[in-house]
Amino acid sequence: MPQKHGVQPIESWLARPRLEATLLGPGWRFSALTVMIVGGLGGIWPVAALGASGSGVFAAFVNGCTATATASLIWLPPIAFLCIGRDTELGVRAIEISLGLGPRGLQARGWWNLYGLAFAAMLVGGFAGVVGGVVTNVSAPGRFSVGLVGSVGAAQSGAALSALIVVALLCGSLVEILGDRRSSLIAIWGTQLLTLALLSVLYFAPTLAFAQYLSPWIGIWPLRASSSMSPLFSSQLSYGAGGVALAIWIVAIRIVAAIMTPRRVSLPSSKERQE
Amino acid sequence: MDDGTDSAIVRATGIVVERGSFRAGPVSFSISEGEALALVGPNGSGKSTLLLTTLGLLRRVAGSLEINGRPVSHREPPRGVGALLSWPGFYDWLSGSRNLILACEGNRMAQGRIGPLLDEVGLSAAEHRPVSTYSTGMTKRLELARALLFDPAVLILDEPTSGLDDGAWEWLADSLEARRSDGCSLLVATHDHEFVERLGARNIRMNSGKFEGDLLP
Amino acid sequence: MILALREARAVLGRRAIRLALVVTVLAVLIGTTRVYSGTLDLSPSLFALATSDDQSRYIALIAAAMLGAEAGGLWHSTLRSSYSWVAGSSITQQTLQRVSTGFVLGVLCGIIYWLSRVVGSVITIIGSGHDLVLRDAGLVPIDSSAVWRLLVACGLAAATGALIGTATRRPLAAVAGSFVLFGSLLPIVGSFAARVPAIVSIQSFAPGGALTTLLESNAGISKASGLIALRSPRSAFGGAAVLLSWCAVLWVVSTFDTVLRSSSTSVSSRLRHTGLAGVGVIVAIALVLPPLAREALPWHLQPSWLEAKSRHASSIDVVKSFVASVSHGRYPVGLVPPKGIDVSDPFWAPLIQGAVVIGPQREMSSPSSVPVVATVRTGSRHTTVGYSFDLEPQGRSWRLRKVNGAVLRVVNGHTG
Repeated sequence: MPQKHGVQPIESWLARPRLEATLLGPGWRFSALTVMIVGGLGGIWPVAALGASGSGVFAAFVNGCTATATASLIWLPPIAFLCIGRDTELGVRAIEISLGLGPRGLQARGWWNLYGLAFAAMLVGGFAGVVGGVVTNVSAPGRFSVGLVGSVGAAQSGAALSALIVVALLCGSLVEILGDRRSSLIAIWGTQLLTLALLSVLYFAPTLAFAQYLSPWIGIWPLRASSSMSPLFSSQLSYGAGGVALAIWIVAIRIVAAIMTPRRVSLPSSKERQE
Repeated sequence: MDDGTDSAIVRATGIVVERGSFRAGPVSFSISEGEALALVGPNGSGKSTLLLTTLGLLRRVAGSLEINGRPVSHREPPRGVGALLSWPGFYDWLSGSRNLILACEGNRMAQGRIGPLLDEVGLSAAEHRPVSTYSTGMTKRLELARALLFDPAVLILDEPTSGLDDGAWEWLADSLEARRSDGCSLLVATHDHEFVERLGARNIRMNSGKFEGDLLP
Repeated sequence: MILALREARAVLGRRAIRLALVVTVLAVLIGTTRVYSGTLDLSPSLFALATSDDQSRYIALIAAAMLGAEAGGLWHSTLRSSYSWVAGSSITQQTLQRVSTGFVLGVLCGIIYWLSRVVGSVITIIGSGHDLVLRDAGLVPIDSSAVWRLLVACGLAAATGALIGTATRRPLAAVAGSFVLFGSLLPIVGSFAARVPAIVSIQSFAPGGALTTLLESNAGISKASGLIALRSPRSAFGGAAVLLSWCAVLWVVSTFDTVLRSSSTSVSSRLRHTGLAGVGVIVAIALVLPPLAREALPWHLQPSWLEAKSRHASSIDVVKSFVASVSHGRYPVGLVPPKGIDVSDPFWAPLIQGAVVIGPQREMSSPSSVPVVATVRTGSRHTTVGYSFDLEPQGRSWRLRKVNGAVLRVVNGHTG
């Protein structure tokens, strides 16, 4: 039965205007270019750095997707802000709530957009990997194939995909907590840099290993002492311990986000008002 | 359309400007000392575009422009001009007075006028508060103080009355009238006809980037 | 200068900037406080500790570049540039002001860095139980001129960052761009460079690499990173030329456009332009990097070696096959010249009687020399014999050329 008053339900959460409004906000170009470059490097890397004599087209796609997902710590934070925080910062959320859209529905739509864009970006990275892989077969001729020769294993791809899912969850939650763009990005990237600084010290001071648990990123840190080419900047935690630390961090951050989100004022900042 | 005044402070001849797919002009006008000229018209008619081009903030594709006898282009900033544009352009985490001090130093001007001007616009009590805490009217007053900071010969104002209540509206009209009586020329883009009448300004109606009809005397 | 100081102060008043500086100070403190390192047996002087050579100064340089970029981008994003223009400041004058503001911010960042280091050093000395009496012991400081040279470097990094900010006009894009262009200073890039040496050459042409080349003349990024033994051949003059070229390009881009950008492109064209730019970058990298990187790969990552390994025809496989034959008392047919060896010779006895470890690959300096260690236990005596198998390529496989052997050690009794 059609509604007589109020707004009609949204037919598609990924409708083009909504996507454009979400996707083309500040920082999207950085994320888009990073995704493409990282994905492209994923397609190039086996031949350029691992000595593979060539890589298959599908392998380049898988490697591009895996590289993009692994590097989501870098490119996902701006997208998380665009999906979760931008409507709040611009006051759009307040207007939509005043039109009759529920805050919970808007929040769910933000998360839906975030995961949709995160997976779409991973696929873009995969296609960039194909471009990189095909061009590499021209610049450094080797065994050209179509299949999965030269691709990373299923375990590595699965780990990268899991990392992407967790990074989106952590970034989205931190944006919900912090609200404005600069603070969110500085908090996300800043804590990653601090993790890097800590891991660089660990190489010389193993007794400080317990401090790794203080970083929310340690559970999905891509460099592991057991598998990395260099112990520097590598996490020394086992996968099990890292997983437990990550789970605790996720629960803690989600609790804080659940407390903070309803308190977040859904009005534009003074700067936005003036502009 | 040029009224041919020789003592013109602002003289624009055949200006054409393109902004994306929008094209405004060619238009010509001049403003003499102590005169007020108002560009009126509906939203999207090209008033602001023409104003920004007059200031050299946008590149014009044809025509010539002089203010105070000096050519103005996208490479040559104007001299002796004060402006109130549709954006505040302040560091909103700094106080009003500190923003004005930065404006003076950025243009190598003395800071002696800041205190009296803040008094004149009624912001002396709030001068140490961050601009982010100002109301719309207070921000507009601070913008006017900045426009008057260097004692300009020409004031160029883009929608100066938007967001103002009746009191602030009166105050702004009085302030501009006082400046005009001191010999300051005004170029205003607005759709507030009452404000234009109050200033006693010449009227140019714009539509789709072109002047409509003749200039009123 | 006063304007630059005031502008710098204004930028530093922003909450996000203060947050970023706190992160930087924490990173420097984590990197320089060595109370936990256990290496301070001697009492170092405070100066020696604070100025000792380590990686943390690159954090200061990168932070300075990003701070300058934020200041440059902020000028345009707040549209203060338009009012400065109306008041008579040309684009060139405004850009000069941004550069000087960036320089001041960079120097301030350098000062904050050195103060953080002093604090970190004091914590280290007190925490490790030493007193603060200045004594000349322990760590070797970098020369005292490094203090002011780093301040100048931070200033130049931030000034370049400010130019990136004025060129992009968006603070976030400028900060990200600065991180990419100066991030090559991060030691983590150096550890990748150990695998792909071509990266070092590329780094030298990035602003960050050029800056270190300029300031640590003839050493460049490779020496600066301290992680790898590569040396950049570029001179201080070359570094200056590269940095100036970057600044010139950024200057032209900064001053090319009008104060306000008049073009407004559609959504689809923005997506198209970005997509084309991304594909262009990938194609350029894919054309240039793989051939360069492949030549520079270490032997154990060369395609020929990996291919031989996959066919079980590498030099290690040949030696394994040889040892297996010998240990079974058989003549290793096809692996050595006819009449090459006598398996009953006592020289081979440890390979037959003992526990044998071949390789491993990580201990080999080249594929043509494979180490083998055999440990023979006789009663309570352990004798370790080391062999070195020298091989030469033969077709798609390897052929044994020479074997040297020597007793490495003899251990009597129970060692555990």
